[in-house]
Amino acid sequence: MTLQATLEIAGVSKSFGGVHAVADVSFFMARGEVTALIGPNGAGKTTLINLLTGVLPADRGTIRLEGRDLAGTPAYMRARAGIARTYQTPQMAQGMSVLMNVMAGAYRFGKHGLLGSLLRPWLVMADNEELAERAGTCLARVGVSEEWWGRPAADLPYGHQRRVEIARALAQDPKLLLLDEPAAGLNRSEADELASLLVSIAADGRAVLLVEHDMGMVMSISSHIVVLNFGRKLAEGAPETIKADKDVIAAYLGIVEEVA
Amino acid sequence: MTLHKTSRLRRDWQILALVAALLALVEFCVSSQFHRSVIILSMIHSVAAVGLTLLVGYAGQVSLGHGAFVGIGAYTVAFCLQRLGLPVVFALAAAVVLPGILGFLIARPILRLSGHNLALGTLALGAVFYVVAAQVRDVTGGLDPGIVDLPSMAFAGLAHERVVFWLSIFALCLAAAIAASIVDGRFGRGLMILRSSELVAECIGMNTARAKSMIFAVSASLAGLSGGLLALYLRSFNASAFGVGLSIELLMMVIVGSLSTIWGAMFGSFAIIVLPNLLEGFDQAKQVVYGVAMILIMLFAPNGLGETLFRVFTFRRKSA
Ligand SMILES: Nc1ncnc2c1ncn2[C@@H]1O[C@H](COP(=O)(O)OP(=O)(O)OP(=O)(O)O)[C@@H](O)[C@H]1O
Ligand SMILES: [Mg+2]
Repeated sequence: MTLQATLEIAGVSKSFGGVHAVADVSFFMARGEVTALIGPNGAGKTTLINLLTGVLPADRGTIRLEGRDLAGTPAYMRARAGIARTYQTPQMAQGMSVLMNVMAGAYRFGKHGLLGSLLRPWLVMADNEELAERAGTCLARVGVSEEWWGRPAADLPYGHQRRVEIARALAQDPKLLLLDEPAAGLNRSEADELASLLVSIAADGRAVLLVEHDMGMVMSISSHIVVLNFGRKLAEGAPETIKADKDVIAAYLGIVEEVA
Repeated sequence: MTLHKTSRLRRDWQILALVAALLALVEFCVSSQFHRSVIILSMIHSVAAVGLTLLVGYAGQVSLGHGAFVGIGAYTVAFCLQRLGLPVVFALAAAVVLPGILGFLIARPILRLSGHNLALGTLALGAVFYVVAAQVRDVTGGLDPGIVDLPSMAFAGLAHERVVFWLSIFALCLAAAIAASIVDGRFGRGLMILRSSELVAECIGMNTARAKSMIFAVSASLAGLSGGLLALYLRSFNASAFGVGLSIELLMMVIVGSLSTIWGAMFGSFAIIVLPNLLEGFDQAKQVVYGVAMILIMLFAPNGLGETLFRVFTFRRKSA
């Protein structure tokens, strides 16, 4: 089976002042697979997600989505091109219901613009119906049952907010889904449900990037693991390779290897 | 499912029909000249306040300068009627289009600011407009005499006030219909996301810079329409009607009404217009009272006073 590289990152760097948050990182991601991005706190994982989504400009390097160079493409255009994400701290919009938050995720599929909604308001109604349908499907998929849909999203328990965020990202029907610590704050059974959800999302034919500290989850569902440390790529490979890697173990235990 | 689904837009249309019917009824029933003028002024200010609710409440961008767009609308109508001899309908259309275009052009640079800086920037915008309007006597007539003797709207046996009343009902319903289709559609949902986080809005595919400009333009258009009606109603006015005071009053109308539904603006406008008429000597204390009220409301009723009262009231009834 040949895997098509959905995402291709080459030599990407980003510094904040003197901090090299991401330094010369390169890897591929294939559709249909979960790729994990791991590393200790401050390793540059969130920064890399920000570079991929375009909310931060990279200092150097190229990012290609299905072969297309994204340099100079603003964040909203990347979202429309099929990149969706979740956030390390859930970002539920205030004053919006769960369903509306997820409908907002389907923004790019709405057929009416601002002028259209002024001139032909009945189209808004039809459009809303369709987007609500799409949002409902995504919510059902992440396991948020209908009784929650009308509630203010910001008031939901933490675990539910994480799911709603994934539903909102799914509503974008992304080619590339970037998840920033989706299991943080979840209990064991919730984390297990999440793991099988991510496997099924990848099975849709999407490329999934999983930033996660839960090593059990990472090792069990990832096809490929990239390890960052102080912004640099420390190691890369299949879970078994990574588990056995001396550098990775050292970085995680905080042991600095003595150089002979 | 249908419950959370499309009911919003339909519900807003129902409210709109109700409001229209109510206002028409009021038009037929109210005979006192004074009551009539209070209601007309409330409706006219509501048009601008509805637009400002979109900008401040939905998109989360504060403006302390919208009095300027009301002024531009008013002068546009005067210019179209007196200099160009255009029919009223065209004059009003121009009062919508011109402020909209100006708003769109100004929005990009000014909405780079946020928070306090945005408040100060828009405040400065309003102040500059006032100075310019007072100076460019050629178009505005300066402070004295200003614009005088716009034609009476008396038409087909209806007195000036009655015609303006109907025009205002129509304009207010139009403004509400526009606002409802925006906030209940995908653009409105995008704005609500943007209000919480521009980053999230960008990442769902919304061009936030453009969206903010568009909504600024829409709110400027509605302010312009409001100004156009004000000009038609007053027939004589000068730049002092569109100073910083008006901008603050418009913002007060939104805050006193609601930051999260367009219907609060009507309540807010009515309250702000009626208040000075009820309280003797209120004009002197106005700025202080508004300042204190604004702080209290933002502290204790951040969704707007009207909405919070409404919530408390309906909650009491339900639990009773
Ligand atoms: N906007 C910023 N300005 C300055 N420094 C930043 C900024 N964002 C991140 N950094 C720095 O860049 C480095 C990488 O941060 P990043 O948030 O990407 O790490 P992370 O791998 O996501 O960590 P964690 O596991 O704690 O979430 C850190 O040293 C951080 O302090
Ligand atoms: Mg992080």
